Amino acid sequence: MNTDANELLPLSPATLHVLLALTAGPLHGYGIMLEVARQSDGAYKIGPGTLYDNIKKLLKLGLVEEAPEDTTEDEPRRKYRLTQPGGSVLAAETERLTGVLRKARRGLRLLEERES
Amino acid sequence: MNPLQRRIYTRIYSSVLRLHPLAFRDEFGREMERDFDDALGERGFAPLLGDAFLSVARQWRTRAFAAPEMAQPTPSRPLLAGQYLAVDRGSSLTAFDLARAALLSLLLVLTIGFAAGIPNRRVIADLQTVRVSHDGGIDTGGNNPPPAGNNDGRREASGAREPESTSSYGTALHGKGRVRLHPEATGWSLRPRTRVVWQAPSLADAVRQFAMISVVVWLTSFFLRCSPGIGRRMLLTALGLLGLAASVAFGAVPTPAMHAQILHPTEPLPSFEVTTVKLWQPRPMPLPPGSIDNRPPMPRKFDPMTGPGAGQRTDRVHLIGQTALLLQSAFNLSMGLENQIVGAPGWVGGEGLRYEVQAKIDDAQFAAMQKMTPAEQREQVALMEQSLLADRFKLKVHFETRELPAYTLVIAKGGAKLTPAKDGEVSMLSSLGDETTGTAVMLAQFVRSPLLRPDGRVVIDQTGLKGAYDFTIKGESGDDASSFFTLIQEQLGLKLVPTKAPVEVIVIDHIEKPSEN
Repeated sequence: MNTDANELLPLSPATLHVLLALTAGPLHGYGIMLEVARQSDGAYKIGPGTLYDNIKKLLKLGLVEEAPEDTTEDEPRRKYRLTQPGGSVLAAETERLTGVLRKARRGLRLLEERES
Repeated sequence: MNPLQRRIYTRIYSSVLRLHPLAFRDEFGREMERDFDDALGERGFAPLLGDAFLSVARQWRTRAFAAPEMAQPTPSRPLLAGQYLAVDRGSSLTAFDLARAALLSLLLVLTIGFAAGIPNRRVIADLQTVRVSHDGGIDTGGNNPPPAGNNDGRREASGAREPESTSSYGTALHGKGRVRLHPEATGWSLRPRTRVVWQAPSLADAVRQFAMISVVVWLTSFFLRCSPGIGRRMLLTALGLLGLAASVAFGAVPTPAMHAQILHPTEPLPSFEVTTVKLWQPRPMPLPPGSIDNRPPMPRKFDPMTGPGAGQRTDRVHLIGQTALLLQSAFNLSMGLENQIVGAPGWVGGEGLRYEVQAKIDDAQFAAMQKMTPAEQREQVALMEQSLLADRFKLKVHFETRELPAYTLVIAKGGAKLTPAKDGEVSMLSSLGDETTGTAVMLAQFVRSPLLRPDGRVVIDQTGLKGAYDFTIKGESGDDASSFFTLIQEQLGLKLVPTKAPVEVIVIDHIEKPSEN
């Protein structure tokens, strides 16, 4: 799966945030929008259009799936949850970003040393 | 946010959602509306609306350029093998494949044709005069009338030496196209230089071009997608076969010209051996015996059309009239219809300056012309007239297509009342008093006659009648177009229907009054 996951990288910011939001559990659309805003401290917000563009793509790739309806709700809404491949892709992206962060930190440190 | 505002915003957002592809809308539309409703108070309307528009664009782009969903490994093809030529070994070529290929080919042809039709270029007839020799002029003598009853292609109108006509059909009828034999002279030639220059298309044209090509690209990608259902297969097959049939029909069957085509300059452009151009001065006419006033007698109106059996039988061209008349003759415009000439100064047409033009065709050329068909001969003379215009009038033109008011000539209810011409008849259309007579006249010629255009519109022959006919129209029509049309409908069984049609026009870039020789 890692090979497949790596083929999908790098993820767009919206896709990354949607996958990240779904780690909190099954969420409906507006729930995902709120979670994305919360996780980024309000710095990144997505609208329904962007959200469902990504949901459609992720459903097609099998990275998310529809969660069973909650029959206890008056007006049940479609909820989405992360699949195992989705988790793998998120993990691979996180790993990639970690590598980027590591290199960025090292580069900045070297820059500071040269300047000092 | 008050409820009314919310309702309006929701309505607008729903409208934008409807712009999404149907499949996407069906799957996520309802959820998006609910999420919009939830987020409206917190996010505001504008960001959510912008997000929806971006989504619309993304979804259509995805739909148009998406890779096949169930991509199958395909055997490698030669790099240059086209979509329609590469047939995988072992696979069968179905009717659907053929139909799809035909449809895509047709779309491609339409796209290219459409792009080529955009007037983003223009042909400039830039003609340079190179005088080879000139050792003699032509006797312009108005005192040397042609022999009566000459049989040249451009017939002499009796009494038409005097162009001060009061013809009700307009000034273009005056004294045009008369030919007479004349002494020999040597002359000059012209070196044509036709060039095509780029002209930026107008914004409207560019938008049309872009929209058309976008639609075709989208359709192409749509039809190229794999796994079509049975309904789409049948539809595509039908469309493809229709496209094939249309291609065959348009390619194999010559379609009649919608209207007279402008004769474009060709290389090498032939020229007259010698020409003279003089400002025409009307001469007083002697009073005919028994006249009770001193007005010149009413000349007979005469249209010098040449029929299928008549060609250029003289090596001389003699014309008296406005420059517009020469332009119409040289470029095969409808005679007397000056709205096909754009950008001309006032002296070119209307009641402007009249010139007497005489020209002689080189002996060798004239001998060669005798082997041509009458139509080819007429074209040859017209091209020579183009040379003359470029040489003496310093004419430079380009061509454009414009939407102009027009009439279509169709067969009226009850059928045409035309008598097929007899063999050997010389084509002639004349109008005397209240009677217009056509002898061996083809309708394609008839529509070019000023007789048929009392209000100056182009007439497009859509009768489908190809032969030459004899006919007579009797009755006073006056200056009223509708009354003349009524006469045509009643007596010829033909009807003129007003319409608008794309008509090629000449745009004059430069013209100057000729210096006399």
